This record gives sequence, C-alpha cells and structure tokens, in this order.
Amino acid sequence: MTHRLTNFNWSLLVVTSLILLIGVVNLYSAVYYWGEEGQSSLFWSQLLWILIGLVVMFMANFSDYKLFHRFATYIYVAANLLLIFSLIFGKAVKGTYGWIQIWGFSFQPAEFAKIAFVIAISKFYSEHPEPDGFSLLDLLRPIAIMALPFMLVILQGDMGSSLFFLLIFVSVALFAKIKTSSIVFLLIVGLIAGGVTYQFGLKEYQRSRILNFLNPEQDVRNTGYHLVQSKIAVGSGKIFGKGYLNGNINKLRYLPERHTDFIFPVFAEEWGFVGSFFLISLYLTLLLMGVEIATKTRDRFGILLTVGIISMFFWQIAINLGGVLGLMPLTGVTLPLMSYGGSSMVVILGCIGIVGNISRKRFIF
Amino acid sequence: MKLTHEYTSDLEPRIKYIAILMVSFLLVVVVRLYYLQILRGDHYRFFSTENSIKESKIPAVRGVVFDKDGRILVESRPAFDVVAIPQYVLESRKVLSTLSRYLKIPVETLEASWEKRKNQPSYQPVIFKKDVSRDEIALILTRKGAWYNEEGPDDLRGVEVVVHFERSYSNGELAPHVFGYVKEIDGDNLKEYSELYPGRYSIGDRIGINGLEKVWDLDLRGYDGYEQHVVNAVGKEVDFEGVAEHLEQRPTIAGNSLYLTIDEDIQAVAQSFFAKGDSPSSGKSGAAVMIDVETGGVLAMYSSPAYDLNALADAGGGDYWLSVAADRKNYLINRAIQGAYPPASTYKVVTAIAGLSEKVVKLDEQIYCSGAYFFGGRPYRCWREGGHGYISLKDAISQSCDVYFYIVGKRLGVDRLAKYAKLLGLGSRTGISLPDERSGLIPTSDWKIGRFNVPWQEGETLSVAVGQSYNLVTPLQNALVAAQIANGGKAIEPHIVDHVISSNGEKIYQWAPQKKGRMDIPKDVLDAVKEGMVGAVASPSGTAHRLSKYKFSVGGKTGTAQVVALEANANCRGDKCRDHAWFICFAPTDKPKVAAAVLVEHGGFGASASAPIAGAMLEKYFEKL
Repeated sequence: MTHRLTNFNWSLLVVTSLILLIGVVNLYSAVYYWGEEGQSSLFWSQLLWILIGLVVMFMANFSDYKLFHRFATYIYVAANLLLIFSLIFGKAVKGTYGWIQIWGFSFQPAEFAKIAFVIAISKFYSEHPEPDGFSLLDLLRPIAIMALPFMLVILQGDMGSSLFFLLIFVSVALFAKIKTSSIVFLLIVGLIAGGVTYQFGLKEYQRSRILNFLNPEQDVRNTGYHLVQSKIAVGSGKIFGKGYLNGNINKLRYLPERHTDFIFPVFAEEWGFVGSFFLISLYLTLLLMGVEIATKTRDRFGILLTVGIISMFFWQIAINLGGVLGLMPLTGVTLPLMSYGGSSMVVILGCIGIVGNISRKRFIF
Repeated sequence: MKLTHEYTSDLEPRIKYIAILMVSFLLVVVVRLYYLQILRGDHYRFFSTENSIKESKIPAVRGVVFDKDGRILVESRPAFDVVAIPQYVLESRKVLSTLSRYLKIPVETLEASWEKRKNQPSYQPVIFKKDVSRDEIALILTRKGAWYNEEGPDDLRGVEVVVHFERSYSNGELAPHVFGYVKEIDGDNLKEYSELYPGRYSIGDRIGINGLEKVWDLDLRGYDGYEQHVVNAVGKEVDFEGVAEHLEQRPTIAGNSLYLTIDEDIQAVAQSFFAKGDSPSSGKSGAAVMIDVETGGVLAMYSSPAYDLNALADAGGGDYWLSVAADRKNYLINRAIQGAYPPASTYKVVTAIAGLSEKVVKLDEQIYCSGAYFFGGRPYRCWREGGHGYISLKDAISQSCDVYFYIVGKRLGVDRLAKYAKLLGLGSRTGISLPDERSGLIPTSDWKIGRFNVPWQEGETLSVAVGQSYNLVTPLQNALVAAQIANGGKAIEPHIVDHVISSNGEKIYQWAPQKKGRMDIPKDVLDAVKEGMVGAVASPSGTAHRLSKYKFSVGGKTGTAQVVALEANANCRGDKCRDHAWFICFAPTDKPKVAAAVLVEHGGFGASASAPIAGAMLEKYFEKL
C-alpha cells in the first residue's frame, strides 16, 4: 500500500469532526449542573472514548475492508460469544444485562454485535446475488444470521438495540431486493409476531411506553412526563435558542437521561431551530456522503457494507430524534456521536473509518 | 449460474432509494422542529422559563364501613397539613420564622423538619404540622398573597395547605380490633405489597393495619388521582391560555364501602359492660361475640381492653399509639379471635355430644356424683362439694356436674373426644376475614407425643372432658359451637362483611356460604344437648338460672376456667388469680336465631360475670326485632 494518504476522504473526516465537536461542547452543557464530580468524570471519559474511537477510525481507514469479508464469520462468532458472556457475567444496569466490565471500563457488546452483524450480512448478500429478488426460502439464512444476536440482545433486556437488528436486516434485505410476494408475507408475519411479542414478550414498562405514546390520556406517569419535558425543552429553543449553557432551567434538570437519550433536546434548547437545522444537515451530509461512496464502489461487498453501515447510522438517528420529538415511542436509543456512550462512540467512529476505507479503495479496480 | 462478485448492477440502481428514504425522514424531523420551535415556540418558551409543571397527588377517599342497619361506623374526614415545597421557598429563614408565629411552634422544631428536605426532591413538600385547625388554615391562606411584600414581616412563599383524609369513628372504642386503623405505609409493607399488588401502592400511601382495614385494604383504598398544574416562579398556580389541554389529570376513585353484619347497638351493649363502671366485668379484659346461627354473620365482636380509634387518628395519635402499644394489658390483641382460653365447663357440651354420638353413655343413664371421682389414686373433684347424686345427661349439663363428665370422658378417651370437638370447629381457625386468628388447641394423643414426646395419660382425659388441661378455645369458636348446636348441626362459616358496594353504587361482593350441609353428628344428639342447655337457664337448679328473668327463652352453658392450679389457689391473692368466666348461649330456645359467647378474664364465675353480658346483648337483639 504505497498511497496511504492519497484518496483519503477528507470531507468525511471534516463532517465527522464537526459533529464530534458540537457533541462534546453540548455534552459539557448537559452535565453542567450535575456538580463537580458528575461533570468532570463524564465529560473527560467521553473525550477519552472519542480519542480511542478516532484511533480505531484511522486504523479502520488504513486497513483493508476486504479483510472483513474474509474474516466475517469469525467476527460474527466472536461478537455473539461476547453477547453470551455479558448475559452470564455481565453487570446489570437499569434492568438490562448488556454491560461487561473490564478494568473499570464498561462496554456494551451489543454495539459491537451490530457491526459484526452488518459485516456478516454483507458477506452473505455479496456472495448470493438474486437479481430477481429473494424469496422467503432464500432469506432463511440471513434471517438466521440476524436471529441469533437479536435474541441474545432481547435476553439482555435491551429492547431498543434488538430492534436495530431487525431494522438493519430489513433495510439491507430490501436493498438487496425481495420478491413482492415475500414482502407481503413477511409483513403479515411481522405484524403477528409483533402482536405476540407485545402481549407476552414485553415488560410492563415497555408496553406502557408504547401505550402511552399511542394514547396520552392513559398516561402512566413518568414516561409521558419525560416526553412532555423533552418537547418543552426543544420547543423553548425557538429560532435561535437560549444560548450556550442557558438551557437547563427546570425542564430537563429532572430528566435522568440528559446525557444519553435526551441529548438532542439539550442542544435544541440552547441553539434553537437554527442550531438544530444545522446539526441535522450535518448528519444528512454524512449519510449522503455514505450514499455517494456506495454509488461509486465497484464491488458487492463494499456496497453492501456501506449500505449496512449507513442504515445502522440512519436508524439510530431516526429513532432517537423521533422519540424525543414525539414522533414515535421513546426507546432509549442514543444519538450517535452526540450522546454519552463509549462503546457506541468507538463502534460508530470505527464504522466511519470503514466507510472511509471503502471510499479509498474504489479506485483500485 | 455463479456470478462473480464484480456484478453490481442489481444493487446500484437501488442505492438512490436509500437516499430518498433518509432525506424524507429527516425532512419530517425538520418539519416537526419547525412546528415545535417556531410555531409553538413562544408557548414552550413560556412554559420553560417562568413556569413549571407541578404534579400533585389527589388522595382518594377511603370507603365507608356500615353496620348491618346501614349506620356509619367508620368514615373519613379531611385533615389539613401545613407544608412547604423547598423548590419554591426562596428565603427559608423568614418563612420558618413566619410559620413559627402562625402555628405557635418553636423555630428549632420547624428547622428540624426543614432538614428533611435534603433527602428528597425539591418539589416534594416538607410537612410542618399535620391536622391543623380551621383557624390556622384561614390565617395562612389569607396572608399568602399573590405578590410578595419584601418589607413585610411575613414570607409564605412555598408554603401550602394540603389535604389528606383521616378516619373518623362514630364511637372510637366500639370495635377497634375489628376495624383496625390506617397508617402511613412503611418500608417493609411497601416492599411486600408492591410485589403482591404492583402499581397499587407507593411511598407516602396510607394503608390499613389490623382488622378489616387491613384485610379489605384493596377495596377500601380506592384509586388516588393526580393533577398537573402550571405554577410560576413564586409557586402560585397560573392559568395560561392553551395550557389546560396539555395538563394531565386523573380523578380519584373513592374506595368501596363495606357493609358489615355487625349491629352497632348490640356491640355497644358489650362495650358498656367492659367499660369502667360497676358491673363485675368493668375494666376487665375479655371478649363478647354474637353470631347468627343460620348464616354465621357476626352481630357483635367486642374485645376488651379497647383503645380509642379517634384518638389514634387525631394529631396526637403517635403518642397515643405508643402508650397503647406498650401497655401490659395488651390492648392490641383481639381477644375474640386471638385469645385462646381453656373452655372450662362450656366444653361439657362437646363431651356430651361425643358421648351420645359414640354411644358410650345413654341419654337417661344415671351416673352417681358424690362430689369427687377417684381415678389413678387421686380425687377429681366436682365443683359441688356434696355432689349431685344420681344425675343423667340433661341435668348434668344444666347443673354442670363435673363427675358425670369425668366419667363420660374416660369412657371416650381423648381421641374420640377430640374428633367431635373438631367436627364442631374447635382446634382450627374459623377463617373469618380478620387477621391473626388463632386456631386454639384440641389435644389428641398424637399431638401430645409430637409436642412433649410423652404419651397421653388417661387422667388427663378427665381434665380435658371438663374443658381444662390443654384445651384452648377462642370466644368466636365457642360461639360457633353454641350456634351449631342451636341450628341442629348445620355447618356455618362466621363472617363479618356481608357485602361490598363500589363507589358508583355497584354491589361488587356478596358473602355466600362456601360449604353446605350438616356436620356428621346425629340430630337427636344435638337436640338432647340443646335441652340440657335450656335447662341450665330454665331450671331453678341450672347454673345460669338468673337469665330466666328475660322475656325471651335462652339456652346456655356456664364455665369457670381455672387460671391457677387448685393447690396453688389457696396461696394466690388478688384479681389475677380469679378464674376466667365463660358463658355460651343461644336464643330463643325453639327455632334459635342467635348464639353468643362471652369471656371475662379473671371474672370469677361464668354465671355472675359473663352471663349478664350475654343476657343484655340478647335483650337488645330482641328489642330490635
């Protein structure tokens, strides 16, 4: 590899860094009122994770994504083993078992499992093209590939993350083309399965979140309360926001998830419509850059991997924003690159690095 | 056909759909942002800067408890507390000194309460004084103006008057053990109840403790409501246009009401006998129970000593509680179902039933009582020193001859005796819906080996046959025995709650018997025993003859339970050595309607201490018919 620095995708790095910068500055504000202790440790540890993430990003950027293709199976198996490990030995946080603690660091195997899944699924579709669309039978193997981490994550108690596997799978499968008849069939099965899961699989508070969203009058206090506070925070930003560090009066002070799920309302309150629009544009730019890279890539695996990563990124943004803005039920999904969260940060940055790598390689065919 | 992995034209054209999808969604987000931040921006800005949403819990009114004639026994009254919400208190010193003047409480006491705010969120109120008077409420609410006057002496910002409900009783000492009381939930109860009934209990709730309040708590408590207010920076509620529809509120649902089988008047009669006064039972401990012989409905259940539920519900309730709980007289025990005493001679009816049913003795068999019966080398004495002479079953009951029953008991053996006792419901809980009922004790030979690892001695059977030795019976159980003899052997289930009506008038529970049918005892046996009990009152030589003065006919059995063993009796001095006084009865004698059991601890003779209470209760019953 002689041309390390040529074909380097600078725009990707610039946009990502902009978002990171905004994220860091915003995070400081989010934890500002928590007092000395809470403030410092969270803030600095996020910086640390970003640093680690950037290192991983550069490593991924200068590696060869074809390696992932070769080692896809191993990566997939390792990720699932980590999930199982966290189920057995993990420490429980807020009712979920999704965390492993090593030497004082906690990380979530589920995040790693997402990218491992994307790699695995990309390998599958790249090796089995079906120009006429996949039938149900054809889909059995990819469904199985999805089912394993999906179930493990559900066992962990993390509904939000498990949803991801489903969404990414559907996105990539649809992208790889499914026969119309199969789509219809799957829709029906999906609805039934959704209904069954709703009745028997969900915990009470999860059910109440959905109910609460659909029918605010039947509110079960706390969940509706958070949404109301979130909307007030966002709306009160008006056009130009209240200004940096001025946003936390009363409203969000009582929300325990300010630094994670509700990081966007913190930002929106302080920077208003202008700031929010700018941030959304940055995210959209990043996503569309990914699309452009996918368009210009010459090999199947590269395209699929890019599409998979884009869909990971997109769905996370969509579900988080949708939830805090009251467009869909709150699910506890965090906003990539903005929310506090080490594992998520490292994985997302790593994925951006992979996409950067793919964009470099496209000239080598 | 194996395609090379260079083939990408199936995927390429589809990539743009992804772009379209993402752009569309983010467009929706932007539109939503426009709506929230630009269209409703002012609205939300107002909410956030100057105002906040405050939620207040609206306590539900607890259900009412009625007696069988529909008279109110237990209801709720509003009680007002003076509280302060730390979030809205701007100058705590001034507020505390203001309150100290208004409420006449020293500032140090208020400061101590104010410290508690550190362990709870600042929107949660700190309680300064509970159950304040109307005057104090008026003072605070009139002085708390919409604007704060900096130069004035008073600062009431953050101070509020909130209402909660306390129980109020028409007669606080009527039936404290039956009703139970209401208290704020503690940690252990909260944990237990949250697991059993998720979502129904939370911190700060008031729950029923003891008695019906506890057993029927889920019915009585109703559902709390809550409402959201918009409140400005000074803590005053603000009505902002367009806000009301966003505020959530849920109305309370009042608790269900219990309709008891208890008759307030009959219960009051029992109360009067045990209260301070000049009857032989005044000031003594004991219990009185009256039940309907056909249905098992409890018309009266009194336990002495009784404490005052109104005093408990008042402002000084905490101290009153401590004095009651610590008193050596054991106020808190419901002696009607938790007091287990030797039944003494009242047990003879059981022995008679057993003896006749097992045919170890005939109805007209004459047995000789000389005043003592020698067995195992020692005399078992009859209460009548000279003995009763030849006596048969009915007279033996009426005159309560001990020797007759020693002999019948010996013929039966302890296990056969126990069989009939248990058939009549002794030795096990009646299952009445009150907590902590005791099952009493009916000894058998197996039981003795299991308990003491020593075999049963025949001589002990003699004591058991006259209701002493290991026998233990609660007043309710004894009333049950009398009732089942009176109703000809029908098995009945004692209960106190007849039906429950919800807050919107629906009957949601009606008591109905679970078991049906007769006990396995021949009817003629029961009739014979019944006649013996009739004779105890009707016959001049009957031990309860003094009750024959009433216009209605009564059948009964007296009992005098030894507290101290005979030998030691001579050396024992004072009231606590006196025997417990029992009396069980039913009335009227043909087609009986009710049965009763009265026990007076250390009351002396059953006839003199307990029978008059039962008689008076019956008199009230017939007066009301």
